[in-house]
Amino acid sequence: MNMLSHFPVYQVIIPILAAFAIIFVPVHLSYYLVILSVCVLISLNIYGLGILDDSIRYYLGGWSAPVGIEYKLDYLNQPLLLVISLMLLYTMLSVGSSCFSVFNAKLNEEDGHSRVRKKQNIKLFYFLLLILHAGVCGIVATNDLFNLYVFIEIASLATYVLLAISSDKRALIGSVNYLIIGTVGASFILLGVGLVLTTTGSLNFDDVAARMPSVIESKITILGIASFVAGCLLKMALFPLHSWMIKAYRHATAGVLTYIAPVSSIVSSYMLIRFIYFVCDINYLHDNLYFGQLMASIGTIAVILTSYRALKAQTFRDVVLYSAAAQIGYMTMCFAVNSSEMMGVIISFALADILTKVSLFIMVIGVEKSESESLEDGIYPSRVFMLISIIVILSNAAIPLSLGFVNKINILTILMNHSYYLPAIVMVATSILALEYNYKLLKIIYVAQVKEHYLIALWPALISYLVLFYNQDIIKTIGATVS
Amino acid sequence: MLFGNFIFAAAAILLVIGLMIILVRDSYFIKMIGLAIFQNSMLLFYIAIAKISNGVPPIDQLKPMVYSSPLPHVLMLTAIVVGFATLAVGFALIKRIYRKYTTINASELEL
Repeated sequence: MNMLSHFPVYQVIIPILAAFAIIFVPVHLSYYLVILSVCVLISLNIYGLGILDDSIRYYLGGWSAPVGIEYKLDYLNQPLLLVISLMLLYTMLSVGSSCFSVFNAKLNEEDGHSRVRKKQNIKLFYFLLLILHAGVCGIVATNDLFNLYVFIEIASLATYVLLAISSDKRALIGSVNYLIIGTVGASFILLGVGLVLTTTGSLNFDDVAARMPSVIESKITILGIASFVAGCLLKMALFPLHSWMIKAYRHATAGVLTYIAPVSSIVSSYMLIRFIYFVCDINYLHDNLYFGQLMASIGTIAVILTSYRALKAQTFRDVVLYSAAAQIGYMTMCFAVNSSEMMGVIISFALADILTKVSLFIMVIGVEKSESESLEDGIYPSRVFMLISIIVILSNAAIPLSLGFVNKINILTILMNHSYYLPAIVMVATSILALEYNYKLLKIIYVAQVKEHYLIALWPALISYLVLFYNQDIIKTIGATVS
Repeated sequence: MLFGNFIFAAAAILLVIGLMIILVRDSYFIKMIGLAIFQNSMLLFYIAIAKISNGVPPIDQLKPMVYSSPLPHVLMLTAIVVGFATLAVGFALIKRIYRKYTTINASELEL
């Protein structure tokens, strides 16, 4: 058996091993170790995409499927793993050093820290980032319900600490609130898993899916599904439960958010897609339990209220956060429709969302830096940065000729075809509101006079135009994985 | 029958008590204790679903017998570790909050 046949599990093992290796390497090499391990992961993912044929199954420890833990890679999660690893590489290359400087600034203000301690703290930061990445990769790769829960907790624990590291002490309160709410959400997922286990007697996704039709009418199963979905929506930060996201992200380091904010939203929506479409009996949920109507109504209310809050928000970061919450609302609306095409649209929408969100958070760094320092004579604000901002904000506002626009049109068409007229109308109306608050972002950028060339923010915007060309192919390929 | 399902009711009561403490109490320290109670209700629930009436532990039995499912017990070993780690991180954050603000009451911190 050659080494590469184990590659599904390497996606989780490599970040964990690299994280522990960081403890033993010199501090100036730790940054390069992270970059190296992420590059290895990316090459493994590309290899995986190359040999992918329908699905790749991997049994941990050689225990076959229903007994042991199984990892399964298909056209839905293998590309997602590649995207997430690329995101980490991008974050490290673009803002890794700025996170670094925040860390140093924070340590300098605290007395009594020796030089050795400072080095250890920088190592701790990379350690946490890699553990978070391992957790996220595990959530995406696994095919086992309980394993999913364990990886959710691994990722969450790393997130709590990363969000608490900030020069603003209010970040601590946001982080501890997130810890409480996040743990409650994860416990609901655990409860759902337990209830599904009682009726189906299995934890493997495929095995549960095979036994689901005979037990779906049991109230216990329905309660289990309901608590799992509630936990996922909490992790996703959907409207009534979105306050943790705003509180935790408002004072956190913007550099860390470029990785955490997009990845956590795409991964939690992936979790929901995997559970609803691949584990539950989706047709039963739609026909007998009003799942579609439920998701449509929650999504509609979420979109209206978060768009309103985005209009009222004052700072650049608040507008970005509420607009992110509104995007999650649109994504939830998509779950209302029972069609395999919609699943592709959700993933494509999430992809467009993370590409704009990354750029927006890099802009947050630029704006907040320029707000804290006044502009000296002889230094002019960066025009290139203005140009980039306009491209990114137009994409966020879903102006025609951007990926966001194409995705919104797709969602609108499908909603209309399934006669969800009210959500469709709300979607159009809030998209007009989106113009208003994105205009506010542009105004803030114009006033802020950002000095530095954050050219690296351009990359995701350019990639989003590349994705635009292949959008239909992505939707079809992902839609084909269900059936 | 009543006593057969009593343990599930107990788990549900613990769950509600835990949530209630998290929502009502002001101090973050007590909120974390509520969180611990909430998580432990899950442990109780999982242990309860493993039990089969007249079931014995599947250890060192030579003849065929009815045994309780060992799977939920194994799962809960992991969940205990996860709960412990969450509490540890939570208390570490609270200690840090106390050092910065000299209070850990939610009402005084939300200014």
